[in-house]
Amino acid sequence: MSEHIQDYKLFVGAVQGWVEEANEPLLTRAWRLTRACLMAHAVVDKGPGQSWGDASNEAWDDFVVAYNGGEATFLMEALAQDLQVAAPVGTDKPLIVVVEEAYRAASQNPARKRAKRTTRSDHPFTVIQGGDT
Amino acid sequence: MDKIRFNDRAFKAHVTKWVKEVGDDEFARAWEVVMGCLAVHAKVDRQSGQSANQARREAYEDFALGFEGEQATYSMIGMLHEFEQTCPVDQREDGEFQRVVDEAISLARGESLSDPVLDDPRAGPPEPESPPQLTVLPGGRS
Repeated sequence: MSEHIQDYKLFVGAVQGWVEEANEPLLTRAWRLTRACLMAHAVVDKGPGQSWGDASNEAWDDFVVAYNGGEATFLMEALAQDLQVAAPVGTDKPLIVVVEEAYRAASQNPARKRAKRTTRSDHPFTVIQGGDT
Repeated sequence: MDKIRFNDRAFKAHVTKWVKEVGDDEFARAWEVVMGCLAVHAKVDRQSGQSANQARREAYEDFALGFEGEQATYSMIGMLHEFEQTCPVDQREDGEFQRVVDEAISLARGESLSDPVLDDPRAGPPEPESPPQLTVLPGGRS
């Protein structure tokens, strides 16, 4: 994966929705632990001058790397494993797909997203006069 | 007999003091992360009607039990490994890491710290406080 998480809130929100739908106590516990431990990582690893959002993006990026079996710290690997083990099997959408989709959504370049929105609002669709089809 | 409450503050203070003495950035970071994650465990696993202090004691006790080989969750084991593996090699290989963790657990359980000289098999027999007095026994022939 060459992309990085640009907006961790999108990632967290997407997985959160799935966890709520699954409504499994063990999964809910593991997800709450993951979220809060990732916050702890961001707090400890936040560099001087780095924004809280950037530190969180980096922490969640590390988590996804760990989830996908990449190089990671023991604790990050363990958190990913705890979540995977707690995830219910046989659901329509398995956790791995949820994580992949959430990652993709959160990794989009925010500048590009803003540009799209600006284009839409500045240039609403209008009926073009004339012309036959 | 009442179970002795695990004194998480004593455990934390003993380990924190030593981590500062070691003065290794990576190791200090790992300990910070572990403390943060244990606080999180306490919060998430706190039972209804249970005090925050009790929940924190349990989280630290689970962490300590992990060091003693008790079964634990992946994340708890992950914390143990992260903490141990980031410890500088010298302190790990000469047994200092294990000794400090053991001491922290003993303190948390209200036990007195064992004497490192007496417990160290390499240290040999303890020196007697005063040399034995040799005296001539009366009588007897060899």
